[in-house]
Amino acid sequence: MSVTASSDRRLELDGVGLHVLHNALTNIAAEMAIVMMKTSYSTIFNEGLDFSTMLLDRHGNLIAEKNFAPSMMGAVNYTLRWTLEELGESFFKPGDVVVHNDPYRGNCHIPEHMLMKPIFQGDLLVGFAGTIGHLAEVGGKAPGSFAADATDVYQEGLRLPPVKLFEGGRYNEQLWRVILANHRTPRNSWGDLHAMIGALNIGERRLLELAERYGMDTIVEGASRLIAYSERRLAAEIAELPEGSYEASMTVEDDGVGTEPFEVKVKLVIRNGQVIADFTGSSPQVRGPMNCTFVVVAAALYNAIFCVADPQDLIPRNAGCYRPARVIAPPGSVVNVMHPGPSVGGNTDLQPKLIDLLLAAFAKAVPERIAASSGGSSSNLLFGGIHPETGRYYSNYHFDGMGAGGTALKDGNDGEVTRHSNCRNTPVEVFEHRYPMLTLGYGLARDSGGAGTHRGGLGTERTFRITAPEITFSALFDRCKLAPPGLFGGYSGGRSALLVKRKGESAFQSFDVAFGVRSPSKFTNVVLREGDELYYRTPGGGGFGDPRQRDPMLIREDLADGYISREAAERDYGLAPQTAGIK
Amino acid sequence: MRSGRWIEPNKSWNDTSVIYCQVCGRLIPRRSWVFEGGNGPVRACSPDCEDLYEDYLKPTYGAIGKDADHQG
Repeated sequence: MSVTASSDRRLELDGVGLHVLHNALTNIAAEMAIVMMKTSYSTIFNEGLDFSTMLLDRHGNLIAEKNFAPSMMGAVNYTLRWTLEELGESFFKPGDVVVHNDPYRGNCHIPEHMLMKPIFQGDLLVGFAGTIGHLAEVGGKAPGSFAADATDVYQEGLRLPPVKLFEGGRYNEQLWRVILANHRTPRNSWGDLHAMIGALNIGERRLLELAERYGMDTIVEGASRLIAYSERRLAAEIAELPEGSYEASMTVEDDGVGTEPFEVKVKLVIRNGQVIADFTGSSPQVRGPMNCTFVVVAAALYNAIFCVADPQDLIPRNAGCYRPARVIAPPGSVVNVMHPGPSVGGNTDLQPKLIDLLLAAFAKAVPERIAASSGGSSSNLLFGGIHPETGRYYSNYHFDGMGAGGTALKDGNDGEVTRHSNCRNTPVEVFEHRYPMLTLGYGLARDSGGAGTHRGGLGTERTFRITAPEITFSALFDRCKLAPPGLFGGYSGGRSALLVKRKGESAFQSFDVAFGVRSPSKFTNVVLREGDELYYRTPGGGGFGDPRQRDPMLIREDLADGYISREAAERDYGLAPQTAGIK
Repeated sequence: MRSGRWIEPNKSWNDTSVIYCQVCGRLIPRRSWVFEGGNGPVRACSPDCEDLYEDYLKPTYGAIGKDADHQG
């Protein structure tokens, strides 16, 4: 391929030149992300940062990204390539913007929308700008589009195979009408989709400006070399790991529809600079929405490999990084859902546990590099209704931080949104301004970090009061029955809990008791009324190593900071009452 | 030595069904790489999956049955 170069500057594609090019491309992706953050309407984008932006070559290979949400790495790697293969390069014309959220064709789950814009220099396709983000409301049976009791994809929201939002630079009005008619908060969808489109336009403009500077031939050739470099680097890191076959399994507490647990198994094969993650033997796909799509499982594997083989994020993140990893995920199993199975919770609440499962397998090869289990849940609360102050329908997808697992070197982080999402919490002030709920309390949950030589991070706890006449409320979270396990003698982290106190009542109780829902952590469309209060506690991280080996000074600091109670210090860490020293 | 060949689908735009690789489980968006697996033809997403089948899957689990996805 040869493309037009109007450059009067040259960039030698040696080590320095490739570094310059990598930074230039990554900065374009970062600017795209800032555009999205600054111009979007929904808190899930402008506060939560539940999206990623990217540049790809004309074959759909990732060349640069701003990866706010690692959960999307699998989709980033596959979705455009699969779209190109299905529809052909000729499908993409100048000025087009294609949208795609089909979980059976390469997306994470129904709320995740990937937008792709072809970039042309003259009439030659040279690459793509892409964004992928979680739209907060896309229809389906529950406000917030997280139906914990969904039994098929049609209850989860509007499904879009690859179709054009813009055709030749003009609105595809018929498609927009369909989308906006099927989302409960069309104004937000309009704003958020345009934030994504704005990011694509910036990506396109900046790439063409870079081509004016260095020439498109140089960029295309340099991107290709960067991909090859990343593949070599990661393969070399993997080659340093002990070769062998390492197995792990886990039990997940329920699927939202039934109350029975299900199993996920993995065999990790490390050999020849490659990692194969074989999920053969995992449970058949479940009726509820805890199933994963293939790309979600791939993202979990990439995440675990990067944690082990490139923890300092030194290797340029592009398509080359994904090549040494192979997933085997039998179709029709809980790790590869087939139509019409639901999957909205697989991305948020099975994926983090898949990462922990993969790390548990890696722990048998490189124990010093592994963290104990994280809280393993995105802690999703969904609600919507008519806002009493605006008279408009609102809807929110809310997630909360939890504890990360302890490691060989340090305690786990506190109140951190899952390792696969990397998102930010929404500040209380913004939350209260946008939604009719008052935050009565918000802090770290004492004793929720699993005891260990290095303690698990703490989960969070909140208390809310409803301030609207009524709201429709749903939840989809996990670790309510089965706690996040510790590692190498470390204790389990604390479990999650969601309790409700109806107005006029004096005690909190779980939703299954108060409302008769099947699961205390996964239910849909409960009506709460003004004055009702909620108590929400997220899970803590698992501890790493024997708690009795913990530095006594750290135990005393935890006591002084209120991270652990005196009872826990004595029971779990063996601190003698007379030496505790803190009243 | 790979034995497979690409097979183009005969599929209309209004056919919404999708198929998956019998080796790794990936989506097969359009054409399939079909090879002889020892117990009948195997439908895969790419030549790489023929290698994965011969190097890992078949020695571990045996030959895939005719028209059956790998389910372990």
